[in-house]
Amino acid sequence: MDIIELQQVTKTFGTLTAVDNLSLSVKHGRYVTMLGPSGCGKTTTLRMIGGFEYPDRGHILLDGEDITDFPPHTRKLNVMFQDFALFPHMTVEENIGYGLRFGDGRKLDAAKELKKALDMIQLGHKARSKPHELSIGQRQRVALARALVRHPKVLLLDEPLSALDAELRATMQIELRELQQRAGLTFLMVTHDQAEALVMSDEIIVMKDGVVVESGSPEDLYNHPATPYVASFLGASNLVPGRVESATGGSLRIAFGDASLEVASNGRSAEVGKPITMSIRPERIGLHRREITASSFSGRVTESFYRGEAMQILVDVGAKAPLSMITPLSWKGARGEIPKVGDRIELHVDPDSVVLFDGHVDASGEA
Amino acid sequence: MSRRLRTALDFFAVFSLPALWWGGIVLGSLGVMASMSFWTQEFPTFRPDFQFGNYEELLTNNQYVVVIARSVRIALMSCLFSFLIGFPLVYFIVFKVESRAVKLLLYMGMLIPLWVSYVLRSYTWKTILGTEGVLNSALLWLGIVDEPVMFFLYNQYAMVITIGYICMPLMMLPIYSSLDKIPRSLIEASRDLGANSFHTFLNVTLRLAIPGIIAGWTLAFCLAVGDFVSPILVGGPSANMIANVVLTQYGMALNWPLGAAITVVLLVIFVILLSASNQAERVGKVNIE
Repeated sequence: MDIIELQQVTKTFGTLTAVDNLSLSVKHGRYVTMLGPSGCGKTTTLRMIGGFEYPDRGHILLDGEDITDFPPHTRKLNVMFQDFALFPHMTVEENIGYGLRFGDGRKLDAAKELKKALDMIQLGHKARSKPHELSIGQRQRVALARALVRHPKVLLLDEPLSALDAELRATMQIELRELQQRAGLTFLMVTHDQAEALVMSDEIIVMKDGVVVESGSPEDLYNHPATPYVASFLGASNLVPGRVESATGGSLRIAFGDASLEVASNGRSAEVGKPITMSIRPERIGLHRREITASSFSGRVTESFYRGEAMQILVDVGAKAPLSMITPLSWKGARGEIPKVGDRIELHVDPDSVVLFDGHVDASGEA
Repeated sequence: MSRRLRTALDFFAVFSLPALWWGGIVLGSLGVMASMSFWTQEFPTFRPDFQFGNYEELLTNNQYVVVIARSVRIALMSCLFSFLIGFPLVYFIVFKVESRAVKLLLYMGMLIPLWVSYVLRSYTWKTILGTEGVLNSALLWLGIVDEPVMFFLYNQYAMVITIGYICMPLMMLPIYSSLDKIPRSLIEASRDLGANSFHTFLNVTLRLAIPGIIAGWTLAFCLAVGDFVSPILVGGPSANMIANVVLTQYGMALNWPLGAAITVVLLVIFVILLSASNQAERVGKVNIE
């Protein structure tokens, strides 16, 4: 059952169409993320679901009920704000307990809920402190507890981790995900950080210019993106323009730059000579070790970057841009095997991992 | 040149003129006046002395206490008047106006009355409330009355309206500042957690506006209690405020020592009031990130 459903929702601000005839749905008990660059409409959509903006057209349903025109305080969902929005003049206790003072919140046992909330975020010892006396991480936990104390049907999270430093962010990503799964809650999050979306979500909705570009599980979107935009937005991708050289059985031979490569065709029909773009993930390109296969090609190293856990190497294959590849440095001898700049090297690609797009397209989808 | 010398010279360059102004002219003249409050009147002038007769006179002669009490009461009512009208206005500009251009325009509109002469702004009310004024004309035209109403003018209520109007910018500006600083997300969070508009206003908006409200009342009160124009223009017979009394002592009564004594007493009251207000503001102040 869809706990949230948006039906053809449109929102304009003056001449700008922020959300364009958008329809989406969120299933109960899942962690769904709306992902996209600034200005794609994800935050506006979240705000409309929360009740802080009203759509110009369309309907918003919560658990089957049309809440499109409901004011925020009557909607059975809660928000965790990007800046936390803790009441500076109230203590931690009073902040968390705020939601228990109004409307349906009064039906709950305030003392019990408060204690449960403080225990969950492990800040019982700070109950009487004011927000400005807490660290950023502590404030975030208070904001989370405050948003959950009324047992909302859905928790809306507006870029919840953007105010945190990298280390804290990594910890909180896991904590939020675990909390959601343990409690069986439905979380709808907005973020522009694709790595975050991949780690935390059951489902990712990729947005651009007010519309949904694609949605699916992280694995589906990462391994089988339907558009070049999604291919390069989620993770890194080499979009390599090439031409079909030959087609045999389940594979196509694609010529690119000075090289050529055999990839799985996946049912795609292609006439010889047709322009085609390959999306190749850097981590799917390997340093060649054994015999030359149909998926091997060679190139010259132009640059290499040390990334701690891996080496990033740029390889010139005679195409417009060098190919970027990532090689893990996970074992002792690894560093010694890394080619130097100027070396001619043999590379191979997992033929099933290459995604094909018609024509010559770049990340924005244009030729 | 050593760093310390440079720092000292910088300090002097910046502060010497203001220090001279403050120390010499402001504090100096206050000092002269304070010492004059101990002088004796020797009609038609007065002579230097050191006696407490003037202060005795203030404490024992009932009329002075009456006038001070009246000034305080009128000032408080004026503050209330300007608050009741000013607060909703400021709230509207801060929260209900979307366009930044319109907001700026209205903000300047709050300030512009300050450019006009204080006396002139008081006189305006004499015109509005008088028998031939706008208010009476409107009532006559609407047929509500048959002849002009007398009681709009020359009484305390006319003074309250006039003084309240004069003080409105001073009341509104600090409140505007406080309200404007409230992050919108706090209001949204309150609504999200189940509080309707009224509860949100009470628990979040009003509470966070308290420092501004205290500051506004303090400024407005200090200005109102020292008003001497409205008693003359719109107050009528027994409408004397304390400033009028001081004016008389320096004028017709030629009793500068007594005038000085009254002023000193008023100053002491102001200092106590401002300190109390400062304390209250500090208590109400909140650390917004």
